[in-house]
Amino acid sequence: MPADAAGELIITDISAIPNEPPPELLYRHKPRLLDAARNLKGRWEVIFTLAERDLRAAYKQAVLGIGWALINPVMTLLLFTIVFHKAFPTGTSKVPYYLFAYPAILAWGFFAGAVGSGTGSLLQNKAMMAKTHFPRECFPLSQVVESAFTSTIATSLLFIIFPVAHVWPKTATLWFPVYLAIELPYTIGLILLVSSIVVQMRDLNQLTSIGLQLGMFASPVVWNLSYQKGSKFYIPHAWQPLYLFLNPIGETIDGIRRSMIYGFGPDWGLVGVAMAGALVWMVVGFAVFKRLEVNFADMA
Amino acid sequence: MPTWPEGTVRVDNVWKRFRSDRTAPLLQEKIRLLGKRMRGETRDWRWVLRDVNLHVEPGKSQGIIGVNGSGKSTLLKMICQTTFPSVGKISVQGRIGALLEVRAGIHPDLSGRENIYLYGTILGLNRSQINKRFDDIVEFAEVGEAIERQVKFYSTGMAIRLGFSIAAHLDPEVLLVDEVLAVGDARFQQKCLQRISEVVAQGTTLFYVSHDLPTVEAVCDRVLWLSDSYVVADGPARDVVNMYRESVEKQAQLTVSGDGGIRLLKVEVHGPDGGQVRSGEPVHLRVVVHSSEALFGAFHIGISQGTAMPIFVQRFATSFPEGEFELRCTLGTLPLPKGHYSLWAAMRAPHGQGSTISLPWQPVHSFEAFGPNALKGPAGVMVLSPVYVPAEWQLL
Repeated sequence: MPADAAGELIITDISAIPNEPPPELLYRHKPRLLDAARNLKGRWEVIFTLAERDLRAAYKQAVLGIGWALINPVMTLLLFTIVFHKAFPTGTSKVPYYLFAYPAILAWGFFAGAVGSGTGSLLQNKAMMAKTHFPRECFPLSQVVESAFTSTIATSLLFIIFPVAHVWPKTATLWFPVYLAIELPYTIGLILLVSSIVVQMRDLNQLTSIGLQLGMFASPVVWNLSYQKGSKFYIPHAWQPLYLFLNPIGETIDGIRRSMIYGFGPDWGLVGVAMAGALVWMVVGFAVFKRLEVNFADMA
Repeated sequence: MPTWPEGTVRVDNVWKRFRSDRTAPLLQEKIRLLGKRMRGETRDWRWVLRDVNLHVEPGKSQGIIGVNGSGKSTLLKMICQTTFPSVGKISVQGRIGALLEVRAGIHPDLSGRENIYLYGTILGLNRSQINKRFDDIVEFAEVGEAIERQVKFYSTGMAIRLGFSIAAHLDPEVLLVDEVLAVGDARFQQKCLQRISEVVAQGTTLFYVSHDLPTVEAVCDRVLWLSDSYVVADGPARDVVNMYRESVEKQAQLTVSGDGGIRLLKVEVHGPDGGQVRSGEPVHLRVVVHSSEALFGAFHIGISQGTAMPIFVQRFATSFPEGEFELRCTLGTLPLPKGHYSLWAAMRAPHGQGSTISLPWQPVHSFEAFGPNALKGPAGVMVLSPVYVPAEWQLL
């Protein structure tokens, strides 16, 4: 290539450049949430690909492979039946304890699985973050997809557990999408919140695992939300709206259990409160995430 | 706002800063910072790029050079849009492909095949587009049947080749390459350069960061030189690279210490009759040395262009006296094309010979050679060192 086609030589007069730029030009990161959400719409493929990658990698060298998606909840269920049945009397006299616990284990398992693996998702994908510029939310959101996948597999066990218990699921089971609509935004909100903060505050890595353990006992997984004859742990009716606003997954767990096993329809008042709480979590989580994302590449 | 064609990259008045306190995220550090902010002081910031302007048109190749820590990689990251500029604006039209730490994005637990699909999707291609390129990628990476094997069982070289091959075959509008050719064997390096040139010839805009000046010259149209957060110059590749070489040598000469036991009092280089140094003609060197003790050792000289790696060396071993003495050397013919060269020198006793004094390898003089210009290889082929070889062609 001849030299003149490459343009002229420009030598900078360094002395003309100030030591610092005028402060009013500094970039302020003010993301618009609606735009960001719209931008996310075309990224399903990336989110699913990331989830697929993690699933493949996770089960590749395991002898039992994807079977672990079944073994894990079964183990948890055995543990609960043996240990917590005695420690948390729940007044479940009408159905076997394992039937009482399993829907809750599923609902909680989806949430805990997503948040647990989503916390470090930005840190673990540092290398990929350095090369690609699709929205950063894709990393934690892919963990929601991954957890949804394993939870769906675990759900198939219900087809065994119900017949074994000689109980038939009630038609009210069909209300489950309502309860998932509470759990999903709550999970997304929390995973976005935790995964973005952990980038600059690694302490949260430790706190998340402790928090998830405590959270399980703070949610009606091994106890009933409302008072039943003989139960020691429950939330009094007056406090339930506040409790469910702050911890919306309580309504998911309790609602799925009540509809599936006992045949009750949704208590729309409580569903509304929990749904509102879940949406607040999601918006707050998303806002914090977008606010902090400016630092991800520099600090991860 | 005007719209630029695909492949255009515009960097306007870009500054970038990092926190200089980010090494200690501990609680006590946070408290100290909080106290500082309450007193109205701001954080300590470190500016790593100052006022960078760069406009690159589609299909052009832009090199970025500079010493370590001058901000090259940060600039590339901002063009890749993985990190935000603190001031200014960067706009990139089209899909970006990045060859940065090629191996880093490859997932070790997945097979080569899975990695290809993973990366393709993430860079925005659909399945059939990847299918179309799949065979080319495998062939270029030279992994053969191992494509079905997990990448963690690959040799380092195979993994790097796969990483490069994926990124280089996804046909982005803008391709960013950062120091990736430092890995892999020489043959594969050459193949990579060839591929990069092909991609550019197809109309991709290239950003190329490297310390390897010959490849920068071989690959790039224009070069941006960064030094300590400032843009020193931006211009045609050869001009800027030569400026950079001279500055590196000047820096090296400044660090020469005069308090050793051996000092060079005078260095001269001249042509046949005391005149200009010319290609293909004899060259005379004159060096006046002062040594604080007599020693048996060797005096080395070498001629280089911008690096510590000489194009050739000459060596003279004998018993040197104490005090001042003069060395003369005549090179029968100067095998160098036109250009600016430096003369490096060193003097030391062989190992275990007792003498404690020595002169380390350093540039001691520079000179211009006059003669024919160095020739450039075909696109993408780098010429490692300039050597002048008289030749005659015939077409029969």
